Amino acid sequence: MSFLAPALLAALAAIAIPIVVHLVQRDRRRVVQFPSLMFLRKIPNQSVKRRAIRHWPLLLLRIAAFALLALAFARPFWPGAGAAAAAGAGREVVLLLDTSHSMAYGGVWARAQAAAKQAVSGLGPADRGTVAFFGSEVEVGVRAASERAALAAAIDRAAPGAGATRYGPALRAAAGLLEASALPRREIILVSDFQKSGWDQAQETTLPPGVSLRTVPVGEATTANASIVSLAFARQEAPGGERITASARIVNRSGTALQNREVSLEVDGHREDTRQVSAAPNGVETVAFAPFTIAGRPARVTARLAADALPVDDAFHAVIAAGGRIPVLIIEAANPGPDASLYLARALAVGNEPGFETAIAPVDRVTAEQVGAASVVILNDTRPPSGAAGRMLEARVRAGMGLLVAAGDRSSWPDDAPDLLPCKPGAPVDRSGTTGGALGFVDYGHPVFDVFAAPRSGDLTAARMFRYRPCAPAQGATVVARFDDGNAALVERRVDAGTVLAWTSSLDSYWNDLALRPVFVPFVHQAMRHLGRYADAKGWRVVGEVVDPAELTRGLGLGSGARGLALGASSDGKAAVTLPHPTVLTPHGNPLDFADPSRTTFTLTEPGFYEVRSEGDKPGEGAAVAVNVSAAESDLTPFNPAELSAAVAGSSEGAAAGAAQPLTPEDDERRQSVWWFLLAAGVVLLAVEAVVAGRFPRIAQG
Amino acid sequence: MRGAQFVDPSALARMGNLELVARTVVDGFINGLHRAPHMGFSLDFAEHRGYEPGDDLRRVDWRVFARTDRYYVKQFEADTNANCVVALDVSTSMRFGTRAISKLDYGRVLAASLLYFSHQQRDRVGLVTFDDRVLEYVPPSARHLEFALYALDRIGDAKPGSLAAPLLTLTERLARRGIVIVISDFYDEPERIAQAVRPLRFSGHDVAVFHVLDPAEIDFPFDEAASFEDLESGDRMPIVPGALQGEYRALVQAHLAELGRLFTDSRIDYALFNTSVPLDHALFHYLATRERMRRVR
Repeated sequence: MSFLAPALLAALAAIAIPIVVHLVQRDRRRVVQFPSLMFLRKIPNQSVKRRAIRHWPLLLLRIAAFALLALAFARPFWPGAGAAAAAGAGREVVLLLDTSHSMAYGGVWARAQAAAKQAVSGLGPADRGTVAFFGSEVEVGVRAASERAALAAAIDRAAPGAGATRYGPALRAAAGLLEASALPRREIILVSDFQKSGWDQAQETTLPPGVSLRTVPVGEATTANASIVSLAFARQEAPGGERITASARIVNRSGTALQNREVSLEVDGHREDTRQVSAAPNGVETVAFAPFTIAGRPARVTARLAADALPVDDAFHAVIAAGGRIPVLIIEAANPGPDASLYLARALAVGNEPGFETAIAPVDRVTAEQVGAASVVILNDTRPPSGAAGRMLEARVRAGMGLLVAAGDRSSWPDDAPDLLPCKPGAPVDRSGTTGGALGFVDYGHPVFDVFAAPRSGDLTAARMFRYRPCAPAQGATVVARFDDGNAALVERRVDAGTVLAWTSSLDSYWNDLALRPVFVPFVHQAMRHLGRYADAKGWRVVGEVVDPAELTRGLGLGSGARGLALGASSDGKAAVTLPHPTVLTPHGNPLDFADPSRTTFTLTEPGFYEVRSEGDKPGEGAAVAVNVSAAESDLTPFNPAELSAAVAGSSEGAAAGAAQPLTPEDDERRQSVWWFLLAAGVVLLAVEAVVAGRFPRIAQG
Repeated sequence: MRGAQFVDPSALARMGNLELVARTVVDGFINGLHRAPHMGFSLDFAEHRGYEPGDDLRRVDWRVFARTDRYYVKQFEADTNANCVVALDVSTSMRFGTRAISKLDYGRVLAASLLYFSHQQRDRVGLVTFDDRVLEYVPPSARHLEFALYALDRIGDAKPGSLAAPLLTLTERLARRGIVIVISDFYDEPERIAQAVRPLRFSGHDVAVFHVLDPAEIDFPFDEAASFEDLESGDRMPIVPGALQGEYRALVQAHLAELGRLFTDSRIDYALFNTSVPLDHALFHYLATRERMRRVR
């Protein structure tokens, strides 16, 4: 923008006048009684002075009026306005074709291809087109081509994939492609079934100025789709392995009932059971299959529903492995009482999901090998081991092992012992003369106690605490539970990668009766799960997730079976071992090509079972990764494309449209006459100011 | 809740008799909704537990013994006889109000309603009024409702308030675990407030904190420049409210959020009450809190 009379822009300095008027018209004579000035005192004084302007709307009105008048007399114009139009009326078009798996429903894909090719055929000789396919990710088929045949061929080659619809990233990618274009008109054509689940308004996608969006809906008005959305497994110990009962959850997303549809269960490729399922309109049904046995290697499980108009979500895959066990080492005093670790050992013996391998050793005879083999060590009313075992204990804790320290009569922590304790225990508090103390505060959000958070899930406060050691938390430690007098009961501290819990009373029946309470077993189990960093195995993944084969080496230290656990299995904190030369096979048996040898992660693109083999693995021996399509994508409910257009609309559609027409000298002259509008707007603002100022007499007089 | 009527606080303020006010607010609520924090002898069976020496033999479940050959005692949840003590802040800052009802009047009616409601529940009710020390203490008793209402009626002049000393005194006086409801405007640093309230929780009480504020304290709707006078200290400060509104609101919201976080961390129920909101909301909140009461029995 240029000005015919730029010297008159100096009049813009006049906007200082209303600012000065508003600043000097401050009135602080009134007294207002207020409960507390606590918050007002926290606001810096200088901001009070600097911002002591009242009636901001009035001030802005006055400033705008002065500015518009000054600009109007400076006579603005746009000398290069016709340049864009002179470049020609060519269009840059990005055709976004939805290839998410919902497009495979019925005849949707055929309609989508036809609509896309029709859009391509509408391109003019000066236009350029880009064909991009999107689901969870965006892939460009043909970039900025003028040949309509090449664009149509790319559309013909495309097919619905297994990804979920994501409109936001696709539109942003298309806008990025258009940004580099010098053509004056830029357009996105979106061909899709417009599933409601694909549009996340929270992402706030906005097209840049000059980019318009045309939507082409190809979905069906009425849809009926049933899908399997999850598999649940109930385990039972059995001779030679575990008996697994699988249950499939089937969702009927249709206005009509699902009648006697066949659903079957396959384990390692063999059909184990077949059932019939019926579901109400828009209802959910769960089908339980006959139990099967697993032992050793993880099993590949598939639940399959008789195919409907959208077959890709009718199969659901999962990997299930026999449950792991957490090795726990209980270190007790040199000459322990007969039942010093009785309750702990009994509690750990009944673990099932996961189980616990418990070993007990006196502190003077425990070996470094025993400590090294454990995922969790319990110092049960004793000092820490010395020598090699003590050094191993510190190293293992810092590397990720869990440590539970229970204080009692014989517990101590010498000054030369490693700095692992969450708190320094003091002399015991004896409340045995009364009814004893109790737990007064428990952090039910902590993993050790979250199982007790629900109503009637166990009363921790019923246990009587007769003796305990006051314990001042160390720097960085967190108090997870307190006694009723405020003393810490359970304190947690992170030591490098490891976790240390300090229970400030004993875990037998002498200092408290917690061990006699029903909550004792779940309390111990939860503490071991937390310290052992156990997490329930993740039986399946969703298309689009990225997998690192090194994850397959993490496990519970279970030996040969661990590597075959489903991805996401629990970790004992050991560093992951990078597979030297992994071979990844897709569900169709095609090997993945890792172009960059330093990066071995891969994206899951197909439903089914991926197989990750390391060197020496025979076919079928690799770790399996079960992959399913997104459950949200199976919901075919559409939304109005106009909502999408309105939400992403840019600000200069008019500019884009106007650029298509060449400018005449008359138009050029008209573009210089913008000062008339500025002058008129300034006068109108002054009139409005006169009305508004009447409501604030003191300012108006100023 | 069916039958509940939302009563405008300003209408209640015009009624002189506190018992009548409390009855008006509470009328329509269903009795017997919450459980006391101790096991008792009502008819609501809770669970079995193993017999321990010293247990009353009458509570042994002989049918279970016949089936399992082991002794189990039946535990019940008591519906009655919980202590319910309301601690009401009557300091100078509570006298503030830009509507027909001041925070103190709102808190007074709220306290009366809660006490009346608890009395209807056959709980023992007690009251504490405080500014920087305990002014009035009505110990919890099944027959002390009228004393408590009388104490609420004759609240006199007050001084600037403080939470720590009076709540510590209250903690020491309450020997039996129960429900303690603290009503105040909480003008102090959040950590100090939480430290003042926590001893009640550590003593095993179920603590609910009702934060009473006038709408003007939250929205700061003033627009004329003026000198603002602190009701407690008498200090004055020249203020141009329009310029500070945003920062003031942000500070208040941060204060409320921090209070909420600290109380939640300590498992203390926290609720903010705006004096423009009908009092029935307070009772709804109270009932909802009691309904999801923790398993502390």
